[in-house]
Amino acid sequence: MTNNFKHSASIEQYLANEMAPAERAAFTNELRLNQELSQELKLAQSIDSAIYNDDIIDLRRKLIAAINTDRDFKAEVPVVRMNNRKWWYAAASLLALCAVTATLYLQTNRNISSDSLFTQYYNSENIVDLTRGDENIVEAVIKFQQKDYNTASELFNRILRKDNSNIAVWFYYGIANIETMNYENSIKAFNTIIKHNDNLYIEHAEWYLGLCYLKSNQKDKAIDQFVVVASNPDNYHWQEAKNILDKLQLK
Amino acid sequence: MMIHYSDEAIQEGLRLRSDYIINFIYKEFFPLIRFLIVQNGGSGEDAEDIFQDGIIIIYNKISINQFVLTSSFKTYMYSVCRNLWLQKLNKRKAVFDKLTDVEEYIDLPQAFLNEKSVEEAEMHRIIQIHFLSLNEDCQKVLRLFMKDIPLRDIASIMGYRTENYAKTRKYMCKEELKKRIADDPRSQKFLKR
Repeated sequence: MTNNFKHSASIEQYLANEMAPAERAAFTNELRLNQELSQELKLAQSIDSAIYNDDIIDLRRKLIAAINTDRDFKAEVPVVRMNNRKWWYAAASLLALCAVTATLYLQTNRNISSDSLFTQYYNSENIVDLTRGDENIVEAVIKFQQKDYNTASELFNRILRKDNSNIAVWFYYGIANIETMNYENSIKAFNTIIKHNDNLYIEHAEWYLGLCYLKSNQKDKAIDQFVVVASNPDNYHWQEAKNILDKLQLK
Repeated sequence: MMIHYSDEAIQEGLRLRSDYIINFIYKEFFPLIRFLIVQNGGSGEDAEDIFQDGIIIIYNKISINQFVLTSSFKTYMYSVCRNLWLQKLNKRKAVFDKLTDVEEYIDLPQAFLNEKSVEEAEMHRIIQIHFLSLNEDCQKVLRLFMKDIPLRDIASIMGYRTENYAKTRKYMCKEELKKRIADDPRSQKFLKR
């Protein structure tokens, strides 16, 4: 069957009992001879039967929602290993995706405050993925995924107090602190990552550091930071940094 | 931490279409069903389809009081989905010696899942998925028409100026739904009969 339905009007009349007796008889007769008409009628009847029961539709909606929630969760939280370099690339790709979205959004909004600039550019949804290998980290990341950023931040901090060399944890810690609006802690985390100078988080840290300055009303520092990002065309946030600088300098 | 429900609670929750129970069933049993399907030549998408069809079949049994648990709900669910997958494999004429089971199962009565009801479940799933992808207005108008509500009332409920427009709108929505179904590769086998 193609998706050009030639008999819809007569089929709907037939199903709604709106045909005169002679017309109905002719339609029934035609059904025996015309396979296309017969197939279209079957489809229309199947539709009526499939959508008849509100309870089933409700259950179907809930089943689809359960499956989609699970899919979304998996899409947001790809399972990768801490020591695998792919982790970095995965995180970086997701960040780039966020950035593209933010850029598109910004292009449609000209007059905005530092606060709204931050909100437009900052999105933690796609930032971090599940990490395996260290139970404490896993526990902290789970709290992060559950959006319990206070607990997550505390747990990351506890891990860092024992071992402050784990750059990934610093990154989580920085993001968790943005979520809890403890920008000083975030700034400390992103500065640590940048000073470390030998990890793949640097360019993201540079970008988020700028956003943290912006959010904590340190506009000059924010501009300096975005200039750093905008001066490196290889940075994932290069274009966004350029855009945000345009906005900041317009104000 | 996920709360664990007794089989009776699952049965009652499903009868009431409780969000909690539906999510619980999905989280608790879907991995098992997916494992079964993937172990036996299917994909994750096949597993989602079979899982949905299985739940709807069980729900239908519960809602007409034809549901009697002679095993755990898990075994019952597994057995229903196993049966559905066997039928699908037979239809696909897939070559397989024996299904690799990953859980114990019970034999379901012959009449429980006849070919017609399995096909109907599959076709209804496709239709319902596309129906739920229509905009709210279309879903509502089509459902009102299904309930034999007078045209005048439908126009009034929907806020349409004329009864004629209500009819036109219903026609357009159903056409859109038919188009979406016809464009879905999964429905081709049903449409060509």
